[in-house]
Amino acid sequence: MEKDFNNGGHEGSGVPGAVKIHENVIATIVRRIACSVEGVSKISGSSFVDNIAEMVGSKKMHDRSIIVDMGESSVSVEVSINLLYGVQLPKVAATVQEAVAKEITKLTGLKVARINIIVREIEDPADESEE
Amino acid sequence: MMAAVKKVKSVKSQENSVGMVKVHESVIASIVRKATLEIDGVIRLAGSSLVDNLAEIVGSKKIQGRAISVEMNDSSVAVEVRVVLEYGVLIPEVAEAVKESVAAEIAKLTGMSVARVNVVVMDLEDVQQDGI
Repeated sequence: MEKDFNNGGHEGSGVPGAVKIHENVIATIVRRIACSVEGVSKISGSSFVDNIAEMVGSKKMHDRSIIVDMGESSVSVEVSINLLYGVQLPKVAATVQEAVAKEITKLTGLKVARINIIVREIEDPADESEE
Repeated sequence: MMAAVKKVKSVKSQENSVGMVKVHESVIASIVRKATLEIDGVIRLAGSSLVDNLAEIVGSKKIQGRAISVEMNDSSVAVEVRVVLEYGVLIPEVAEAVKESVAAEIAKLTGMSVARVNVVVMDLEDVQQDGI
């Protein structure tokens, strides 16, 4: 149970007690920021599996599109995304990495150790509208 | 029921010249709830209200997933509160404000010393514009 949390850092000022940040918080930030980057179509993966995984609270389930690993004082994230056809993958992926890392640090005060991006699929909006 | 015979752990008592004043754990929980929700940036407590209600009915301290857990001993009280914060706030700042608000309110209303206030941020959400 304790492993889900980051127990580092925020102790000391004023009232005794720890501030713990659940990995859901990180996942929420990742989801939101990743999707707001231009060229990103969506977070890939089956939302069905994600929902089930969330319900049963399983960290072990594969196929989750956002995996958060909380260390002592830092956090690592792996996220699978679908990009739009035609964009330069490394460029967009790098933008996502930077944006996500920046937002996590800003909101949570945690250090970001790694942001891994997996480009899972490329989507062509034209294809879909023709079908 | 058995309170007179068996020492109930969830009740904190203070002897004065006339008798005893006992404060139940759920009093602390109410204070925590109120003091937490008062803080800007806190959207709601994060427990499942179903679990909380059941836990309250059966009076169990052991049930996991309660939004507020209270631990009392002879001289002090420690609490843990699970919250959902507004997306965009600076989490450490809001959490610190919650800690201070909760500790101050408990100390003020009950006179007990507060050993720890743990804040667990469970998720971030947008403020609901419509609704209540």
